[in-house]
Amino acid sequence: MSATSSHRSFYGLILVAPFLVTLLVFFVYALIRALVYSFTDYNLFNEPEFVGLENFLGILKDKLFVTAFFNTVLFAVIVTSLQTLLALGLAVVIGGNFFGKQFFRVAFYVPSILSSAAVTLVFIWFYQNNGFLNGFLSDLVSHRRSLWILIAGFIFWWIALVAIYALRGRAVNWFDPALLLLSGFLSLLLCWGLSGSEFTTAEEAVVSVNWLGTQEYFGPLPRTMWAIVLQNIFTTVPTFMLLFLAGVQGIPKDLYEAATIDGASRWRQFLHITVPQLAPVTYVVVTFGVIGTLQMFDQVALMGEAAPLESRVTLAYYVYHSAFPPGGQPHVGIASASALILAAITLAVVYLQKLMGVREKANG
Amino acid sequence: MKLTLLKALTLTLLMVCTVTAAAAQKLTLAGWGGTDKAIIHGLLSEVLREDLRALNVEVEYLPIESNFGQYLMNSLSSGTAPDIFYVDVNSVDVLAGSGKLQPQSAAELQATMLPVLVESFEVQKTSFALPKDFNAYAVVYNRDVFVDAGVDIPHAQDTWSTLKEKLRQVVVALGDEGVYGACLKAGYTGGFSPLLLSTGWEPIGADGRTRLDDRFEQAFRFYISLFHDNIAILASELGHSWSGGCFGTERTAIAIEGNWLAGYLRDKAPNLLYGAVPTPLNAATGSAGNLLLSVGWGLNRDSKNMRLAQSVLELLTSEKAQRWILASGLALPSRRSMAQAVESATGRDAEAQLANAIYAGVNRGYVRPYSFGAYGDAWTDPINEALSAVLVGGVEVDAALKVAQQRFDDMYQRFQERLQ
Repeated sequence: MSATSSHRSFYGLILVAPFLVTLLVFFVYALIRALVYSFTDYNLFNEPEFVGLENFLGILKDKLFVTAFFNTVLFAVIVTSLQTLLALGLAVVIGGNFFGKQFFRVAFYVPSILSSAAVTLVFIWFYQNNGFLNGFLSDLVSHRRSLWILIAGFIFWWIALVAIYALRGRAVNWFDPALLLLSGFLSLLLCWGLSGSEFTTAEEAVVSVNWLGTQEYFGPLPRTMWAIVLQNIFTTVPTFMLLFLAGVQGIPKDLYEAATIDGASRWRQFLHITVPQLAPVTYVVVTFGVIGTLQMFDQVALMGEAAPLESRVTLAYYVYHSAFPPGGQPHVGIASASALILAAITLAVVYLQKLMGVREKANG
Repeated sequence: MKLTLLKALTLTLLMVCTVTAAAAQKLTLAGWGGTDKAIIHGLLSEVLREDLRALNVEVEYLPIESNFGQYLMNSLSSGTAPDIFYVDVNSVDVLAGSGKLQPQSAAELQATMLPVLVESFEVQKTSFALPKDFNAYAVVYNRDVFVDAGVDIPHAQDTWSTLKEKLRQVVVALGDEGVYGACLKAGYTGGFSPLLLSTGWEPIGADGRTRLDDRFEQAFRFYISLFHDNIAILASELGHSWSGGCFGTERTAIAIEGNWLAGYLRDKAPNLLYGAVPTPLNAATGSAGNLLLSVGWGLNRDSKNMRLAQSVLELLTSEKAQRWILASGLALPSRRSMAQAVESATGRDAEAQLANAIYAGVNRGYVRPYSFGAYGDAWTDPINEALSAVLVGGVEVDAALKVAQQRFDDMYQRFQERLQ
């Protein structure tokens, strides 16, 4: 080995040393300790006593762990799917050319720079019994007659306008923005014209849904977890949107030009050019999404007493709750075992998504 | 020359020894952040300064703004814990079990304190902390509301039923003006625990199980009836997060709160004329119930200055230190003698009345600490959820109680498995 390459290796090592030390102390050492503790009965104060697989078998029988497991896996699947689709959709929309593009880019990105604590607090108020969501739903139900007229009017004008164009022999796209806007405007006029009549009389209604303080399920998840799903999507979509936006801007324009010449519609261009070309970004987004959602902790912890433990517990929170139960006995062995299970699940899911076709390379 | 050098060396050595001897020893003391930071700093620098100087000790306060329980567990287990620290009554079992908490044997000092407080820091008849201060619940009433409604004000001999009747009359008279009897929360703490405990119900039986028996059901149904009869309302429905908020804005006739309400009303509703009485009696048992919220001073068993720390601990619970705690207006001091000092210390009749009502409340009937052994705070979850399910979710009482009992059984099962 020449003196130059030795020097290079030495300086290289110096440069990576801070990262290596951090990795060794906070990852490798912590992982080994967790692995050791997972086979012991340890409460931070006693001498760790080897118990074999007892902790692993114990948590598999623990109803709270089972709840946390299903909450986490379903949360990860739902949030990762929704946030990826929404981020991709938003990126494609704001990647186009339209008036006020810069404003929308900033506006859509703002939620991701807000702190989790602040967002959680706002969402707790939002979901309160007398909060905004129930108030909004109460208003909708109270004005349901007007709402029906608005929807029916919109559909009526929409079909009518398409029919008028067709009768005049002019080709018209059903989803033409101008057509939709005009239908909306005319139905609003209709509503306004009928205001004050018995058709639009508001009937006082109070919607009082308990969004947080309940263990009731809606579909596969507790209602509280759905509230966290919405909150999490709100805060994570903008960051992923930015990643997709960078990807969208990197796709060669020639591909779209060629497709346009070949007569491909916008939708086909999206499906056959944009989506495949964004495969590397999608891989990153899905991987980050899966890891982030499987490790979901902060928004659950901040929800605190606003919601029952069973209806918000995730695996990451289960780990913390086992190690530091409020006022209770720490169970470090159980916390370590559940942390290892969470790590194994995370690893398995990331590999599974590769197997299921989320590719690292475009055209790969 | 040699002699001069020797003299100089001896002199230097003497000076070093003198300086070393004169240097005050340092002790660390950890507690909560927030308002406690100013209170404890004031206590150390103003009230106990001379005493600490006489002991030749410097005490540094470490205010912990994050999760105090977690901080304590980590620092005690890693050997970096302070010499003296707060011990919340709900964590005394776990901390005592850790072997890191020095047992307290200051019998003379403990004899000056309220017995119920001393007992709440005992684990298997051994005391593990000296009570610093405490809080419990009392019925605080708005005098003007009762006068305007033409209803007798609450008194110490009221039962829950007579109090309910008085509140019903207030609602009949002033309901049109948006006044309710009380705004309460769907949870164990607050109004429900004094009502529940007055039945003689034990939160955790000798076998470690929680049983939602007839006494529980009786209290539960009574509490729910306050809402169904339109006498009480959830605080959140009046736009508040606690019943003191509704009371301070004169939307309710009473609030069932602790001494912390005094400071809040002093700032937010200084013109509100209020009084206070102990929590009501249960007609069947003839006793009242109350929930004791308390913090004690604990000693680190691994402290290198145990004797000095014990002396500082005694200073922290001395009468003058307790007067300072009393003047802070948040919690009540643990010494019995302070009950008489309340009036002069606060200088306000209403505040003194509230403090006296709380002192009286913890000296009668079934008083239980906010402490649930190894279960921790999670023990309250099934009750909180059952109340919430009925009051917010419209679930039937029977169904809610069945779910809650199942959850208590699961909790018991889980801990039994972990203990095996």
